[in-house]
Amino acid sequence: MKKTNAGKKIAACLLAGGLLLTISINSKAYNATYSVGGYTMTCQCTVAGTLGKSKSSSAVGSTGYDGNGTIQTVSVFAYNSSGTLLTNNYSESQVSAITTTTTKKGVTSYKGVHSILDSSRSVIKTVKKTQS
Amino acid sequence: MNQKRIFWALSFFTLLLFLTGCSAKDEVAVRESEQGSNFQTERLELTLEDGEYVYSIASHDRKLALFTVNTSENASAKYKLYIKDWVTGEVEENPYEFGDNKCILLTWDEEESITMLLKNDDSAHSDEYLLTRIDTQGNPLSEAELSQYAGILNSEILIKLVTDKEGNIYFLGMLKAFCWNPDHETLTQSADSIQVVNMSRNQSGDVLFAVYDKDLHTEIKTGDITTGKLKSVVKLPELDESGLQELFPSKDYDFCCSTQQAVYGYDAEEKSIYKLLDFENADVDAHTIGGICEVSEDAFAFVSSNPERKEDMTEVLVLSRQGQQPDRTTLKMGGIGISPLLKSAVSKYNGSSQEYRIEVVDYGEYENADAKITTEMIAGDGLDLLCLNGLPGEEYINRNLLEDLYTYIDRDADVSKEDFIESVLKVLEHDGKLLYITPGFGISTAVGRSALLGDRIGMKLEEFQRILQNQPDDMQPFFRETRDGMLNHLCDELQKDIHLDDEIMRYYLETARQLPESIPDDSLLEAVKRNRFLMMKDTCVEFNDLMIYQRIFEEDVAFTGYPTEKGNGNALDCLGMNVGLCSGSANKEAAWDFIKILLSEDFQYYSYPSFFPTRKDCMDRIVKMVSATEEYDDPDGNHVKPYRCEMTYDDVEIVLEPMTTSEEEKFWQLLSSIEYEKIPDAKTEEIVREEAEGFFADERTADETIASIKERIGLLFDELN
Repeated sequence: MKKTNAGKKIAACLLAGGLLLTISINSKAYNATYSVGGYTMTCQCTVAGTLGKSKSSSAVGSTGYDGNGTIQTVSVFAYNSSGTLLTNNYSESQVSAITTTTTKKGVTSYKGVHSILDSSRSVIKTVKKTQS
Repeated sequence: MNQKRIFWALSFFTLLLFLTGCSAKDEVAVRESEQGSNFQTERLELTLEDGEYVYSIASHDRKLALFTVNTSENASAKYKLYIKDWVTGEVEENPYEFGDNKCILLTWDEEESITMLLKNDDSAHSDEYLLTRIDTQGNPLSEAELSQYAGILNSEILIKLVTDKEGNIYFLGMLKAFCWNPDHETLTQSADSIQVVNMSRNQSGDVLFAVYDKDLHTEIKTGDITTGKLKSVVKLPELDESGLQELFPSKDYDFCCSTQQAVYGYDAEEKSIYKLLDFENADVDAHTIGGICEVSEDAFAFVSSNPERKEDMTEVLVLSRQGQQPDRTTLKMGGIGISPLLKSAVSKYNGSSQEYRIEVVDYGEYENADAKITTEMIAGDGLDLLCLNGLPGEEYINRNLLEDLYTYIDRDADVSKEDFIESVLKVLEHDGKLLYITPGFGISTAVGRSALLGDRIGMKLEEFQRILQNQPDDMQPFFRETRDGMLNHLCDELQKDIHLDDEIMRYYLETARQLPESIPDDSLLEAVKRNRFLMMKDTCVEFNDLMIYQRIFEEDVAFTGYPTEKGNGNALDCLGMNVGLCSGSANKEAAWDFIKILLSEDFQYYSYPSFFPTRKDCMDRIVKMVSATEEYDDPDGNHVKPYRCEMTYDDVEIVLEPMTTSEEEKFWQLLSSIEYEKIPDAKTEEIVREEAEGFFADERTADETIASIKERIGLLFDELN
């Protein structure tokens, strides 16, 4: 794969120089993890960052290994304080699944939903967890 | 004095240059690859046994290792490893015998060394973990028992395995990593201060870690992850609207990474990130893929699992660069924060149409997205399909910018109005026209004990207040309700009737004032046990969401919906999937073909449990599945077992048995009672919130606030009409 030539970066450098002075400080980590046994399933949803109107956060949801060929879905929903959905993402897989939301401000709660379905779409196991 | 000034000016200038230099080191540009990001997708042809499917893949220097699982009783072996040579095209089975060990993670970082984390499949020995390195002939090179770390390994989701040139082996967990040192036989977790999002080996044999920085931007670093002594390689800029999904090695780039939209390659020398592959252009639904790797300089492979493909569990797709896309007419679908489910349907459409392809345009990046969309739609040279989520739908409807889909349904032999749930269509109609449609929906409701609320559907606010007055003082009206949430319900009411009764508005404002600003972290189990609230609100998108309440409360429940002036608080939620066909489209029939995918039985059925389908046959099929007390085979040949679902909802753990006839009846009653669609309107919400601020701060009375809200909402209404 050949690459194109890089362009001039002076403007970008100057802009970045300005941005360097406006680093915000909200680095406290917010983590929540939960597991479900039984069907050799583990699922987790973790929020990175602090939740709050002016704070940045993002969430990662994942389901682990299941050798039985069942379908796994993982969804992450991000809401503001009035319960309006701001963003969501999902992954569906017959292997393991991972999904990530982009970093956003104004998220005050996340809902992670993990499900194991059989081939008929019958839900065998489901975990719904709110993080606020 | 002048010298001092000159000194300070020079110092400042030097500092500025220094800062600029530092930032220049960090700043990288995202560029389109010179060869474009067009790839064609092909299925990797493999001869596998019945029931055998590819679980994971790993690549090294034009070779691909494929680990397969076979769940069939007649399988010659449950687990197998194959190696495909990309140059000769040959696929050989690797003779390594897995026995009872399943391969959880696989990596191929060095020429003659495939590394696997194996776990004993026998439930009696599920704590047995083995880390093994084999050569391409299947001969073991080294083995390490990790069973003493079973506690850690069992409790973590292990996403990835990477080795470094020193022989250390890294496992990726959720926002953390673990390092196995084979010399000391120790497993050490990454430093607490570091949030590891992904990792990969680079060309020098070092491991790169994608970590969140303090602003939650992703930075690629290398070094000792266990102590946290890491050196920055590059700060990743915002690549696209989806988050980082994978980080993987490349021969031509320092590393490659992928999101749910594209694959990118980083060139350290040029400090540039090149967009190499666009999943949408390659007609791939990136929500159903995993384990991406580079197999040659112009090809990537990954495991895909499309639930609608009934014959195989998974398939390996290979995306190869092609000079030019086939000549197809482009349709534009626009919106803000377009639902990933709609994007999946777009991939399906693009993969099946020879003549057309849909380009998804997210207007979220524009400051006045709704105005820009309106202008483009009026000009008639813009959008073919509009996703109405978060946009002022009334405006497009009033300006006749959307087609009546009933016209298309009536003349299409493949669909008819009778295919859909009548009450749902009624809710979506505007003056008898169907100006947008959704493949599925959720039910926005509020639920509580029938013993307290009465056996009813819908509740008037005055009735609710009367019931609340007769409850103990510590009884909360709503569970986990917030100030903004309450104001949102006021907005819903104002959208139904801009002449809403002042007393009702006063109730919403005064109740909102007493509520917390952020969502309280109350225990659901505790609150139910202690009978602490009258109602809890929820958007139910599947049957488990409805059935769980009866089990949580351990008595009959009533889906009253949020109490409103007229008792019509239950609402239909299109879940951001409402799509209209633009009147200005030059390719209306092609755009209608896309909408037909959304309305198809396959798409709607195989999207469950993400939403309730709008098709009657799909809903009946799901109701049958959820109510099953005996085994049967469904129309696609799937064996359906008696329904049993283990559900965890926050701190409540419940086993759900088949849906009863009474529950089913209640569901249909609830659905047919719905009269309104929940449409969040940002402009109304902004007005209500701004005006209520003064009331919450005791700067104005409730009457003054109500008057201001009504005046501004009235002006907004006049403007729209």
